[in-house]
Amino acid sequence: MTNYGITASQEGIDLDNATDAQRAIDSRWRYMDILQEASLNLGTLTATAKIYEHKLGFVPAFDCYNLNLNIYMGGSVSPSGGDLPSIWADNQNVYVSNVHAIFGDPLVFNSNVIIRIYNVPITEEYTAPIAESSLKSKSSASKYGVKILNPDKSGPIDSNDLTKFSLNTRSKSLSIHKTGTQVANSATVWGLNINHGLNNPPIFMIASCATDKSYVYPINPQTFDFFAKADIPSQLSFRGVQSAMSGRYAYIIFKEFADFAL
Amino acid sequence: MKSGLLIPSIGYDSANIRPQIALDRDPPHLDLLNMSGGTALASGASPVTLTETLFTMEHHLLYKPKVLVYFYTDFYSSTDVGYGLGTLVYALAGAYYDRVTYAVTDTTFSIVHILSDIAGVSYTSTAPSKKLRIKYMIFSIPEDKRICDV
Repeated sequence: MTNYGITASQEGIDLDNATDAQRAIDSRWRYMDILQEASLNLGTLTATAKIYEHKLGFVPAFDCYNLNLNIYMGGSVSPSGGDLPSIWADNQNVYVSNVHAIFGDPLVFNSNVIIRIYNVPITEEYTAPIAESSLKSKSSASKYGVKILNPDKSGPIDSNDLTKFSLNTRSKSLSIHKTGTQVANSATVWGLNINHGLNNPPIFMIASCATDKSYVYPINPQTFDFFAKADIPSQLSFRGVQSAMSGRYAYIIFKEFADFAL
Repeated sequence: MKSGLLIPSIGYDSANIRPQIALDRDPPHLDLLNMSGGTALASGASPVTLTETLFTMEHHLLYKPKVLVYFYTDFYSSTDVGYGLGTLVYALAGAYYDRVTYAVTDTTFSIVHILSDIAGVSYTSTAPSKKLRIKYMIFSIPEDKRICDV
């Protein structure tokens, strides 16, 4: 068993007392970083079209923000009642199609969007080790820490602008505990049950994906078409708001807890 | 010559952009809120959207930031604790949609209760019976601009 690596806790947190979520970097698990971003125009959406090549070789978690409507796209109905176009990513590209063209929302036509693609192979089964999941209180401020400037950004090392840093222990980074996919059981109310083993309700993201895991729809952090519950501490459960869930879903479970801000 | 840090085993590359939440801001960019689910917004016989702001704060960033908001509530039952990401649905039917969600601008972050009644079915929100615990995270990256444009 290897016993080496890199770890650094958030500023003010003693490393020996840090929970996993309080480590700004730890080489034992993954973090959610932006690999690529693109500004695009969706055009008139008359047919399925490839709108972006990411060429990552894996199916990535991504989101798509519509600048015209000021909403995240994916799995939801548009403000004026029409169906938003479908956007999905496979292991090479991002595609768009207005599959409900006859009911298409004219507000979406020629929309400008920002797509952010994360370094998270969301359909891949992955579980990080658990080093410390019991909750600790905040410690006092510390003068020690780690800062790594983004090489494409210029700026002084004492800048307060976090966009200039790829890592700054004066901030919180979202570490990933688990990713994977699961098929919802449409015969039960709580059709999707994900065991995570953290013993506290964690924060999460979820997106619909292909049955064969070949593509995934975007994460929508704004419009949540599900109910979730965490009555079993080591399990997250989901159900549809209006109807039973069906199909396969990809998820990200973070090490950050939903009920604490530490 | 470029410099940086790579950790191949976890895909870390300091050339990538990490969404981060500043921990030294006032008001805080990472916090929990406890509040009632809102008031009994009531629609009438005409289509209407009613909105009330339950919480608002200035974020003091120079752009509209990306945020994550988790609504955590006990309104299913005492043992059946519920969550929502970005939105928590109180009630949804063909004609009405009652929910709590967030709003963010270039200057403020807010929690809002919205009742949309598209058919005028005279619906009254059950929000006063809900107790909300809300975890919000305001990232120091823009939602509506590319990072390289900041």
